[in-house]
Amino acid sequence: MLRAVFRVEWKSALRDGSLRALLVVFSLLVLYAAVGGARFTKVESAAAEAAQREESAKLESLRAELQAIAAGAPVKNAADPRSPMQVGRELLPRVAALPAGPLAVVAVGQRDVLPQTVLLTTKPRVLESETSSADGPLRQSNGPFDLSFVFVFLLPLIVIALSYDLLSSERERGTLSLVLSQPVALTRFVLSKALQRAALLLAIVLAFALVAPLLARASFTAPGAPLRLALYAGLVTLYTLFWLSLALFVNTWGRSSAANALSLVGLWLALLVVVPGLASVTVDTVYPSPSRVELINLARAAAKDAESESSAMEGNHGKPVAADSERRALAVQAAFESQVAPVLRGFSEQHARQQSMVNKLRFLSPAIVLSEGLAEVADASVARHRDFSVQVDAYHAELKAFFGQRAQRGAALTLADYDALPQFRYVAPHDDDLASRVLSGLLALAAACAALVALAVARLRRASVAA
Amino acid sequence: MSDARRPAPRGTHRALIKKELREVVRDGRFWVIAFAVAGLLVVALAFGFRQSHAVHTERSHAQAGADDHWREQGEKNPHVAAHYGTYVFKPASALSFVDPGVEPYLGASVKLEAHRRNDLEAGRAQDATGLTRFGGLSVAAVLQLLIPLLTIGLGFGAWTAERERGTLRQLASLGLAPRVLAIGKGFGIAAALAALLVPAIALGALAVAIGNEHGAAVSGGRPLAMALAYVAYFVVFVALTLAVSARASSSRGALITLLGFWVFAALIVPRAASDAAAVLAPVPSSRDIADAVKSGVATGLPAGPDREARVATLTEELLETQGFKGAEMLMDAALLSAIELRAEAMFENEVIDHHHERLADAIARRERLAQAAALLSPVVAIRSLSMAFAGTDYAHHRHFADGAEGHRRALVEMLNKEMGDKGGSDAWSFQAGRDLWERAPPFVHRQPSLHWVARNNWLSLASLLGWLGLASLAAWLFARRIRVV
Repeated sequence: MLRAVFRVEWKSALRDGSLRALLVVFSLLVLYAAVGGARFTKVESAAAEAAQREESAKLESLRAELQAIAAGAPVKNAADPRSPMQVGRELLPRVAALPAGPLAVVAVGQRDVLPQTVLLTTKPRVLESETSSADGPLRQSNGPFDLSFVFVFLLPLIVIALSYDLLSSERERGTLSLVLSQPVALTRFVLSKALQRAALLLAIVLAFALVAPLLARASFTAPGAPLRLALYAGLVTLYTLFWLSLALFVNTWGRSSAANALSLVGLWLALLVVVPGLASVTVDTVYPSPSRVELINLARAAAKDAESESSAMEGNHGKPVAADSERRALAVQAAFESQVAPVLRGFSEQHARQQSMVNKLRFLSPAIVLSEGLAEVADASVARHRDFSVQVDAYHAELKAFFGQRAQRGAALTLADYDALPQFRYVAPHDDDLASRVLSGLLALAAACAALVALAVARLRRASVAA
Repeated sequence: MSDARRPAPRGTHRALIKKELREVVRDGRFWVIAFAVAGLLVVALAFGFRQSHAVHTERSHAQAGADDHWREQGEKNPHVAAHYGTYVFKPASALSFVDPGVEPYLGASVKLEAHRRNDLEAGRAQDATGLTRFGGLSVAAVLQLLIPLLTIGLGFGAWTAERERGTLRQLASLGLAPRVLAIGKGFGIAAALAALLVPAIALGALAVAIGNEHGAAVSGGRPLAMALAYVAYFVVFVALTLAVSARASSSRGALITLLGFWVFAALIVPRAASDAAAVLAPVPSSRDIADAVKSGVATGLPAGPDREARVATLTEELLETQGFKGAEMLMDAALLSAIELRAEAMFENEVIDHHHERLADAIARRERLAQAAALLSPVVAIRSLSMAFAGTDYAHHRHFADGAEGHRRALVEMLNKEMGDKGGSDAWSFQAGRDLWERAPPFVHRQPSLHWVARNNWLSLASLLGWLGLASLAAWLFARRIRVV
């Protein structure tokens, strides 16, 4: 009997014009999102490569100048390749780039807001500007149209569209009493319909989810890719099943199709707009972000001496620089940084508190679980960027030590020094953390599905046939 | 239903509206949702107001601090002081508690110094968590996303439910013009919406009053213009809901169509539009512009004379206007140095203007493209207009940045001139003190007028009015041709 139900459902699904229309719309959206995600990743890596090429070119030209000076060429006043201070502060900005992960096309995450390529000098980082993408504030504010958006926001609507009338349509068409006159329990009938929908939806969704990154030329064999792929497939699968279970549960309330549709859209709104909005308000209220504006005035006060020194050096057009002014500038900068360091530490501690609160609050809505999970899988999460920032700070300290020691000694840079310049290499954290973070989300989604199905079954068992 | 020839009897309109309103109010679900939405509005309002107040305090505090730093920088040569520079902070917009717009993604402060036009920095987006991808809870978001959905929920069955119940035949038999019935239904829904918006509006007005006392003051007719835009937006959705309900063959069909339109207009189009605009109309990054300005300052503008020649020309012009042409030998050394510095600054400003104009054109092209999507969706129109009236869109940011740049030029010019006037024989050893720093012109930034806002957003305004006209026409036409049985 149930096999007959399955067959009927498949046939009617295949013939259903609206299902075909929905499929076409969904595939177009996924295609657009995949192309967009791929384009974003390409632009970011092209920017990183361009910065690195420029750095190499500058390095080469400085080496050539050094050799020319050794051979007797004159020295330019403000561009002396032998001066550790000038090279470190002005002449050779070093590039620190955060490489994209293998499944970067899945989610833009925070990559459009937090800079992926940083230019460093020996000047304090807090006084330098680190600008982010040129795509504009409107795009950043609206959010990118990537696969994460399509799966988190639009996929539930597709699932709702295909399952809001699971039971109510049978009742409205009058076929429910017909079916139940056969020796089959209501519960089994509804569950088999739901299973058929699940199979159909999962086949479609997984096909799109896995083909899209392929289309966008993501590499499935890169290190870490198989794990991320598995987590990605798991997240999308459980998310689809969650919305299907929710639709099933709403159908067991015994109301009309229109009422079901309204309730499900209302629940969509609650889980995708209201709960994340309230969560965001809560995090901002409990752990407000420290003020970057206040940091500027604080830095200015702390840097008063340093700035007086440097503006005196820059502003004296044409006057020669005093011999020990470099050493003074170094001491002043060290004093400045030790004053500002506790404030910057306060910033990162508050960020950590905010992030841990988000990690706890995400279980309030499957949409947050999926959004955070996809950002992790795409190596585009806030956590990854903060890790990158920590490594950049360490590299910055290395650069300052390298140039600062030579400046203190009064030593000039040699070709050997140029060969020994520290390079930045990002060391990705072990995948264990990522896997455990995403797994906890997967478990939560699975538990929610199970709970909803159990509730639905309980209601069906108690329900009567009367329409 | 045909147009009746005789006018409706007195009191018909009111009776119809009362009937519609009663039907809505009797629905228990309406109250639950109304309370939920009203509650959300209050939370969003409270949070937005707190944020806006905090930002205002922070910025005015910071500006006072920066001004103190400037005044207490001690004795220095004026040109060295120009290098030392000062900071200006963008003031918070009074209506940002309603619509924070793109403000969090823009910088808040800029360093004004000689020889460089810096970018604004210290934006709040660097401190984002992953939750920002969900848009946050602002009054504008609730008004733009939730109210239309509520309207659809209240009105999708306005015509179809009557037909399914059989009461449409009775209504038609009254001989009233369909226009009258449509207006009655529309006002019924509107009255229900107004009831739940009233507490929020009252609180908003209170917030504006408090803001005028203790925070950023509201200028002119911005709150009124914003309110009118939102009213027009709500009416668009009321009319669209009635139109679709009249045209549809069943309540379910009406609901599906309306929800589909909402998904398209509120979810897909805004994101796809800003995405597509970023791709189709790329804008040079601030690093590109900074590099271009740097190389232009070193070598001269691409289509013009090189740096030496241009600075020499400008120096000649300055000497002429000051009346020293030909008498350079008799000038104080400081005066000559100052004139050279001023000519150099003028040349640099020319290069900066050239490249920033290029940037402004690219940005304008991208914004026009993003605004054009308002033709496809009224949500895009209200989003642009709401941000524009609240003063939290990109155009207002650039207005501030340009004002700050103008102030920078005035400040540097004043300092260079002072060095020339008082420097005597050696420009570089002349030290100025607090009285010069206090003479520096204060930076006063005025929010642009409503006229300026309207001019920058004429496409969104026209689109919203277009949607209003189209939706109202459709609501009336379809009501005329409605199938009664």
